[in-house]
Amino acid sequence: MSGEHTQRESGALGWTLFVVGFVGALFVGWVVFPKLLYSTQQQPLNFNHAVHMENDMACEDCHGFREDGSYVGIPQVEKCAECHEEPMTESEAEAKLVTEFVEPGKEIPWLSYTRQPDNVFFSHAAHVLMAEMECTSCHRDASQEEETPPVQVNRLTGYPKGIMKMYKCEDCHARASVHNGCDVCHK
Amino acid sequence: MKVDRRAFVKLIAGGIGGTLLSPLPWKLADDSAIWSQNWSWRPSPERGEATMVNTVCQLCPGGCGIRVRLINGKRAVRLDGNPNNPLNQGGICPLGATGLQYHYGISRIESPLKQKGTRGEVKTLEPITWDEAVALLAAKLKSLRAQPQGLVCLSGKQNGTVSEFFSRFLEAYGSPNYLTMPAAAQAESLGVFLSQGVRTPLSYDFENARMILSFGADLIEGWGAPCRMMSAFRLWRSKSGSQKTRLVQIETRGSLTASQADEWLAVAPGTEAALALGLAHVIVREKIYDRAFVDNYTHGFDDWTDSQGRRHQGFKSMLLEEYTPARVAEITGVQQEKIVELARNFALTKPALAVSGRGQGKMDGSLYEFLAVLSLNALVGSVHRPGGVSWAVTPPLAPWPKVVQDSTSRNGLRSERLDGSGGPDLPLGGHLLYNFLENVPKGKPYPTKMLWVYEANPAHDLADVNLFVKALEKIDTVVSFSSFMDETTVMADLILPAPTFLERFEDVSGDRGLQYAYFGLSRPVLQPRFECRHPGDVLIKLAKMLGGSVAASFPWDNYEEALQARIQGLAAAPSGRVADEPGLQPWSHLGERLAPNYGSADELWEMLQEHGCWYDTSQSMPSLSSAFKTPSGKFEFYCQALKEAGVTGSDSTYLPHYQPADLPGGKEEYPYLLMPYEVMIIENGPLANQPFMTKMLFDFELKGRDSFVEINPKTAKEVGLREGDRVELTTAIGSVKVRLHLTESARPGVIFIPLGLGHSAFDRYIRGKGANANEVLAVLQEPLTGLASWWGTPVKISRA
Ligand code: SF4
Repeated sequence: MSGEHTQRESGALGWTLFVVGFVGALFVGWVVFPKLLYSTQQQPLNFNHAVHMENDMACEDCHGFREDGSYVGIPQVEKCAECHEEPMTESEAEAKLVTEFVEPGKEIPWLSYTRQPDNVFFSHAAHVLMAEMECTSCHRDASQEEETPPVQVNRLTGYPKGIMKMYKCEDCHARASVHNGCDVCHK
Repeated sequence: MKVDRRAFVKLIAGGIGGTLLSPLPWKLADDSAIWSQNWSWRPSPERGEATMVNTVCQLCPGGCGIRVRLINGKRAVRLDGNPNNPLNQGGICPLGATGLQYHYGISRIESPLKQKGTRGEVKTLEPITWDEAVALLAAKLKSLRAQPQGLVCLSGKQNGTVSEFFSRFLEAYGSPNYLTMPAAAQAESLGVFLSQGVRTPLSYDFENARMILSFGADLIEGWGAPCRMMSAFRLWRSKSGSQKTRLVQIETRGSLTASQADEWLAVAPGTEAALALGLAHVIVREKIYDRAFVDNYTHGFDDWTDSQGRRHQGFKSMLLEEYTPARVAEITGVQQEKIVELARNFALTKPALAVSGRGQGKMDGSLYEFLAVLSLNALVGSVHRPGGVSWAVTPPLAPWPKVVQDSTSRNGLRSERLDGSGGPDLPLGGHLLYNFLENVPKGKPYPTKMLWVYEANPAHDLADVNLFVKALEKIDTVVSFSSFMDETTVMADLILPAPTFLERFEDVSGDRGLQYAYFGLSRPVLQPRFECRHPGDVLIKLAKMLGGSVAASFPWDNYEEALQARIQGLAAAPSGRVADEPGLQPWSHLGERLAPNYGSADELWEMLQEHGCWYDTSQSMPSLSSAFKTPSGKFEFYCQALKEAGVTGSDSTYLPHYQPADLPGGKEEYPYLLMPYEVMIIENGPLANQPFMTKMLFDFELKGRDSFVEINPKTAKEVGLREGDRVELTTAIGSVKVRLHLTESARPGVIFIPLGLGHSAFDRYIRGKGANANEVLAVLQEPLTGLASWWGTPVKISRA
């Protein structure tokens, strides 16, 4: 083999490796990394949104606003106990609800899909009551869900996948011509 | 095939390229911003259900309704104004908004402490149990009982049932020596007594007035009930046209109130009374005073003859002779034309009121200055009229049973007061703290054995601050009832920690100035963080241990019971409501009866806890024909009560007049004048600025550990100093190091120093910020009344 040949061969190999590195990194970055970054966690209890809706309940019955205008978020177990003092059906989840949480008066450690980081102040009242935004413009429509989906939690930050990053807030505020100053969200 | 270096580099390069085109680096960079928020040791607000509960703030006497945002019912995360409260209308001041830092701060006292070493040494303060602490104090009180007048109590609160508890204890024990910290309400009550025969502060119908003439009262910087004044200011500014309210600020410094006023008159220091009398002169000369009021309801306006046939000069001729605009212009530095114009405006705008009480009103003030300003109100008929001034309105609380006395207490109470108040030299009474401080080292008229300090911080807050420290040397035992390790508490021998405003019951009846009856109930919305006890409960326990008549004077099991007993009076009143809806405007319904929204005292107690306050508009102003309890039965320009009290002198002694102040220190040695000022974002009271509040200060107010004084650029040039220079200010009292801030709002020749900074106690986040003005301010005492003020001290300035 001549030196020239070796050089050309090694050049071709080099480019192949470049492509391998490139594609490999893309694969890792786009496919492997997101899987690694998030852990999948199950809710402590299955909540069947659909069945509650079928029983003529409205979203606001549980996720409404208090008299003082503050948003309830995920309700306390007290709210469940209003109907589920005793099991109403044969459902396994309901049995668990009653024995493990309602009876001992323990809060259900629900995992939030969208808990915003501590350094951000987010007011549901400002968005829903004042700006009249739909819940579904930010949250998934859970009304037809029979199974609560698992929660993806970021291993690095500890926050759920569904949180909004700053650019999202700014972008929407800009489009809606709402004040975008720092102190709107960072109090 | 050999993978050489080049090929490997290409692999890496490809990897980097691919990585950069994937979300990996960007997502990691972005996430790292919030990664730190979940470190386990990082403090994080508790999560859980948020609720709002109402209570009343006690951080100042302002009495605002506040809402506490609680997480899981036990962690307070935010304080807000309660929109249902008629007084603050949902507003809150910086002190209130940052109030949680007091509750959760590290200067709180965690258990009773006893000084085992030298007084003032923090390290030798030893924790003891409550049983030990109370037993110790009870034993001391028993041993002093033969001479009960040796017990003195200094309260930081002017009113409220806890203060009454302390004065009640002293009365039962046998000491006449109950004192309060200085307050403008002192000159005010005395002036009202001398001119109207009733000893009470005034109420000011600010909300209904159309013109307000403020003689140095910083109305929107913490004067009176601070948030009430802020909402009154909003109201003035919301009106337009003929309803518009005009605010004229007469003040040497260009304060915030001055800058927000419709007009600011920068008078020469200490000449407010002269200006008031100059205005009165014009009003009388031009005959634009309220004839009907002056002719029918006043005494001593014209020259008059007394029952012995002696002629006396009246207010009118004194004004006309001595307070001509020309002379007043010379004294005050306000142009003659301005005086005439302002006088006309004040007399012809109806209703108009004049108010005095320098700064936030934390000096006793001067009787004659108060009388001069009050006489302006009388001239324009603004006494006991809507939009004017009247007497303070007090809620109809049920009285407690009378104090039971034994022979020891009767004897003790007959002794002269340690401040000389009510004695031969100071027959007009009042709480004369500075006289007390002067008498203590001399042991006159008898030694002070024990001093109790309740929520006051005289070791920092009194002008000529060393007077207090020196007095302490002669007092055997000092007991502090405080929640925080303030300068005074550090000096105590026994410390009895009180719960904070979020942990205890207490009533707040609003600070002076309100024109309707108001009762605020502060209640424990949080569990006590530490081993603290309500001072009221401590007094009950002490009384029971002393036994006899003292125990009989405190027949309750706890303070809450005693407070509830007083609420019965509100419940029994025919008119009054618990404020349970937003937007209440009691000032629009003065004199109207309110149908109670509760059925019984128990229900009222429950509702007060839920909503915070009770108010009533039915106690209308007294009728002019029967209001005045003076010798003449009228409003007296010429105060005959002074004569009855044994005060002698020429006619001017009995009339409002202007006396130039006798400032300490010669003009040659101290060529400039140092004047203190107060602002809302620097707490000048028993508390100290918490970090959240200090953060709001500009760096020409506080930079690092240096505080600034304001000086006019011309004055600074005179002494060759520039913005930011470090200087030493020296007065006859002492010296402090500060830096200079040059501003046109400072009058040439005057240096303005903020009150409230320079703490040496509390905790490491609070202490060491700026200089304490009280180390250089001298006290001026009015000879006739003994009332104290410290608005000006001659000073010299040198580069530090
Ligand atoms: S003005 Fe006084 S009572 Fe009102 S919020 Fe401020 S500190 Fe509290």
